Amino acid sequence: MAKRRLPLFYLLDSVCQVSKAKSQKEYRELVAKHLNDIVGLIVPDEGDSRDKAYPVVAKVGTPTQLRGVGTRPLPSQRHRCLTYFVFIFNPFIFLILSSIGKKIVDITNHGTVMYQQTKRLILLDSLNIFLIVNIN
Amino acid sequence: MEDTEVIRKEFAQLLRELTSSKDSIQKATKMMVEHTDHSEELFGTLMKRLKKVLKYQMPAPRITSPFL
Repeated sequence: MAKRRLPLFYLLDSVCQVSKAKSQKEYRELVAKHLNDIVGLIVPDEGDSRDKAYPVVAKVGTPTQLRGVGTRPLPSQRHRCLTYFVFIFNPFIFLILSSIGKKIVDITNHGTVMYQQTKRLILLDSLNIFLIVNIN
Repeated sequence: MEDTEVIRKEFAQLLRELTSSKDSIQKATKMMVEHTDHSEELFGTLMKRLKKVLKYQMPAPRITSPFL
Protein backbone atom coordinates (compact mmCIF):
# COMPACT_ATOMS: atom_id res chain seq x y z
CA MET A 1 0.00 0.00 0.00
CA ALA A 2 2.84 2.33 0.84
CA LYS A 3 4.17 1.84 -2.65
CA ARG A 4 0.99 3.38 -3.97
CA ARG A 5 0.67 6.08 -1.37
CA LEU A 6 4.18 7.41 -1.02
CA PRO A 7 4.56 8.57 -4.65
CA LEU A 8 1.54 10.77 -4.05
CA PHE A 9 3.22 12.26 -1.08
CA TYR A 10 6.43 12.76 -3.03
CA LEU A 11 4.34 14.62 -5.54
CA LEU A 12 2.86 16.85 -2.85
CA ASP A 13 6.31 17.55 -1.53
CA SER A 14 7.65 18.27 -4.98
CA VAL A 15 4.77 20.60 -5.83
CA CYS A 16 5.29 22.51 -2.59
CA GLN A 17 8.99 22.86 -3.26
CA VAL A 18 8.53 24.05 -6.84
CA SER A 19 5.71 26.39 -5.80
CA LYS A 20 7.92 27.86 -3.16
CA ALA A 21 10.77 28.35 -5.59
CA LYS A 22 8.41 30.08 -8.01
CA SER A 23 6.72 32.06 -5.22
CA GLN A 24 3.38 30.51 -6.06
CA LYS A 25 1.10 30.14 -3.09
CA GLU A 26 -1.88 28.19 -4.46
CA TYR A 27 -0.73 24.67 -3.70
CA ARG A 28 1.06 25.56 -0.49
CA GLU A 29 -2.12 27.11 0.84
CA LEU A 30 -4.13 24.07 -0.21
CA VAL A 31 -1.66 21.71 1.43
CA ALA A 32 -1.62 23.77 4.63
CA LYS A 33 -5.43 23.86 4.63
CA HIS A 34 -5.76 20.11 4.19
CA LEU A 35 -2.70 19.09 6.15
CA ASN A 36 -4.59 17.11 8.77
CA ASP A 37 -6.38 15.13 6.08
CA ILE A 38 -3.12 14.49 4.27
CA VAL A 39 -1.41 13.34 7.45
CA GLY A 40 -4.32 11.03 8.21
CA LEU A 41 -4.21 9.58 4.71
CA ILE A 42 -0.49 9.05 4.56
CA VAL A 43 -0.03 7.84 8.11
CA PRO A 44 -3.36 6.23 9.00
CA ASP A 45 -4.41 5.73 12.62
CA GLU A 46 -5.36 2.14 11.99
CA GLY A 47 -4.51 -0.68 9.68
CA ASP A 48 -1.48 -2.68 8.77
CA SER A 49 0.61 0.32 7.98
CA ARG A 50 0.04 1.97 11.33
CA ASP A 51 2.92 0.24 13.01
CA LYS A 52 5.28 0.79 10.17
CA ALA A 53 7.08 4.02 10.17
CA TYR A 54 6.05 6.50 7.58
CA PRO A 55 8.24 9.43 8.25
CA VAL A 56 7.18 12.11 5.95
CA VAL A 57 8.72 15.35 5.02
CA ALA A 58 7.07 18.26 3.38
CA LYS A 59 8.00 21.77 2.68
CA VAL A 60 4.93 23.85 3.00
CA GLY A 61 4.87 27.49 3.81
CA THR A 62 6.51 28.87 6.87
CA PRO A 63 6.62 27.40 10.36
CA THR A 64 4.29 30.18 11.45
CA GLN A 65 1.67 28.97 9.00
CA LEU A 66 2.17 25.42 10.07
CA ARG A 67 1.95 26.06 13.76
CA GLY A 68 -1.79 26.34 13.50
CA VAL A 69 -2.04 22.94 11.95
CA GLY A 70 -2.34 20.64 14.94
CA THR A 71 -6.06 20.89 15.42
CA ARG A 72 -6.64 17.47 16.86
CA PRO A 73 -6.66 17.23 20.64
CA LEU A 74 -3.33 16.34 22.12
CA PRO A 75 -3.33 12.94 23.79
CA SER A 76 -2.63 12.66 27.47
CA GLN A 77 -0.17 9.86 26.81
CA ARG A 78 3.23 10.67 28.20
CA HIS A 79 6.06 11.08 25.82
CA ARG A 80 8.04 7.95 25.55
CA CYS A 81 11.19 7.02 23.81
CA LEU A 82 10.64 6.60 20.16
CA THR A 83 11.45 3.84 17.92
CA TYR A 84 11.41 5.28 14.56
CA PHE A 85 12.64 4.85 11.14
CA VAL A 86 13.81 7.96 9.57
CA PHE A 87 13.44 7.99 5.92
CA ILE A 88 13.89 11.48 4.86
CA PHE A 89 14.77 13.43 1.84
CA ASN A 90 16.79 15.98 3.67
CA PRO A 91 20.10 14.70 5.02
CA PHE A 92 20.42 17.72 7.26
CA ILE A 93 17.36 16.73 9.22
CA PHE A 94 18.59 13.18 9.39
CA LEU A 95 21.78 14.53 10.86
CA ILE A 96 19.85 16.45 13.50
CA LEU A 97 17.79 13.42 14.45
CA SER A 98 20.84 11.20 14.57
CA SER A 99 22.72 13.60 16.75
CA ILE A 100 19.97 14.23 19.25
CA GLY A 101 19.24 10.67 20.11
CA LYS A 102 15.93 8.96 20.43
CA LYS A 103 14.12 10.94 23.04
CA ILE A 104 11.48 13.38 22.06
CA VAL A 105 12.47 15.70 24.82
CA ASP A 106 15.85 16.06 23.18
CA ILE A 107 14.23 17.13 19.99
CA THR A 108 12.24 19.82 21.74
CA ASN A 109 15.39 21.06 23.41
CA HIS A 110 16.77 21.75 20.00
CA GLY A 111 14.15 24.36 19.37
CA THR A 112 11.87 22.21 17.33
CA VAL A 113 8.18 22.86 17.59
CA MET A 114 6.36 19.65 18.20
CA TYR A 115 2.84 18.42 18.00
CA GLN A 116 1.90 15.00 19.12
CA GLN A 117 -1.09 13.56 17.46
CA THR A 118 -2.56 10.19 18.31
CA LYS A 119 0.43 8.08 17.50
CA ARG A 120 2.39 10.42 15.42
CA LEU A 121 4.66 13.27 15.92
CA ILE A 122 4.92 16.26 13.77
CA LEU A 123 8.09 18.13 14.16
CA LEU A 124 8.49 21.53 12.72
CA ASP A 125 11.90 22.91 12.35
CA SER A 126 13.40 26.16 11.36
CA LEU A 127 13.94 24.98 7.80
CA ASN A 128 10.21 25.02 7.04
CA ILE A 129 10.22 21.29 7.08
CA PHE A 130 8.03 19.10 9.14
CA LEU A 131 8.25 15.43 9.49
CA ILE A 132 6.01 12.83 10.88
CA VAL A 133 7.23 9.80 12.70
CA ASN A 134 5.29 7.01 14.25
CA ILE A 135 6.01 6.36 17.88
CA ASN A 136 5.45 3.31 20.02
CA MET B 1 -15.20 24.38 -18.02
CA GLU B 2 -14.60 21.69 -20.56
CA ASP B 3 -10.94 22.57 -20.49
CA THR B 4 -10.89 22.03 -16.74
CA GLU B 5 -12.44 18.61 -17.14
CA VAL B 6 -9.89 17.60 -19.78
CA ILE B 7 -7.02 18.71 -17.56
CA ARG B 8 -8.51 16.97 -14.55
CA LYS B 9 -8.93 13.70 -16.43
CA GLU B 10 -5.42 13.90 -17.82
CA PHE B 11 -4.07 14.54 -14.35
CA ALA B 12 -6.09 11.67 -12.88
CA GLN B 13 -4.55 9.36 -15.48
CA LEU B 14 -1.11 10.67 -14.58
CA LEU B 15 -1.77 9.93 -10.92
CA ARG B 16 -2.84 6.38 -11.69
CA GLU B 17 0.48 5.83 -13.44
CA LEU B 18 2.52 7.68 -10.82
CA THR B 19 5.58 5.94 -9.44
CA SER B 20 8.35 7.07 -7.11
CA SER B 21 10.69 7.67 -10.01
CA LYS B 22 12.07 11.14 -10.47
CA ASP B 23 10.69 11.44 -14.00
CA SER B 24 7.22 10.45 -12.96
CA ILE B 25 7.13 12.87 -10.03
CA GLN B 26 8.59 15.68 -12.14
CA LYS B 27 6.04 15.13 -14.88
CA ALA B 28 3.12 15.31 -12.47
CA THR B 29 4.66 18.28 -10.65
CA LYS B 30 5.10 20.12 -13.92
CA MET B 31 1.50 19.59 -14.82
CA MET B 32 0.27 20.86 -11.46
CA VAL B 33 2.52 23.89 -11.44
CA GLU B 34 1.66 24.82 -15.02
CA HIS B 35 -2.04 24.77 -14.24
CA THR B 36 -2.24 26.81 -11.08
CA ASP B 37 -5.47 28.34 -12.39
CA HIS B 38 -6.95 24.86 -11.91
CA SER B 39 -5.20 24.25 -8.61
CA GLU B 40 -8.38 23.44 -6.69
CA GLU B 41 -9.45 20.79 -9.19
CA LEU B 42 -6.02 19.22 -9.47
CA PHE B 43 -5.48 19.21 -5.73
CA GLY B 44 -8.95 17.72 -5.26
CA THR B 45 -8.08 14.98 -7.74
CA LEU B 46 -4.89 14.25 -5.84
CA MET B 47 -6.76 14.01 -2.54
CA LYS B 48 -9.32 11.69 -4.11
CA ARG B 49 -6.52 9.49 -5.34
CA LEU B 50 -4.93 9.41 -1.89
CA LYS B 51 -8.24 8.36 -0.35
CA LYS B 52 -8.75 5.69 -2.99
CA VAL B 53 -5.26 4.30 -2.49
CA LEU B 54 -5.79 4.14 1.26
CA LYS B 55 -8.91 2.02 0.79
CA TYR B 56 -7.04 -0.42 -1.42
CA GLN B 57 -6.68 -3.77 0.25
CA MET B 58 -3.91 -6.14 -0.66
CA PRO B 59 -5.34 -9.41 -1.96
CA ALA B 60 -4.99 -12.35 0.39
CA PRO B 61 -2.05 -14.61 -0.50
CA ARG B 62 -2.98 -17.77 -2.33
CA ILE B 63 -2.18 -20.91 -0.44
CA THR B 64 -0.60 -23.34 -2.81
CA SER B 65 0.83 -25.90 -0.43
CA PRO B 66 -0.06 -29.48 -1.41
CA PHE B 67 -0.39 -30.34 2.31
CA LEU B 68 -3.39 -28.10 2.80
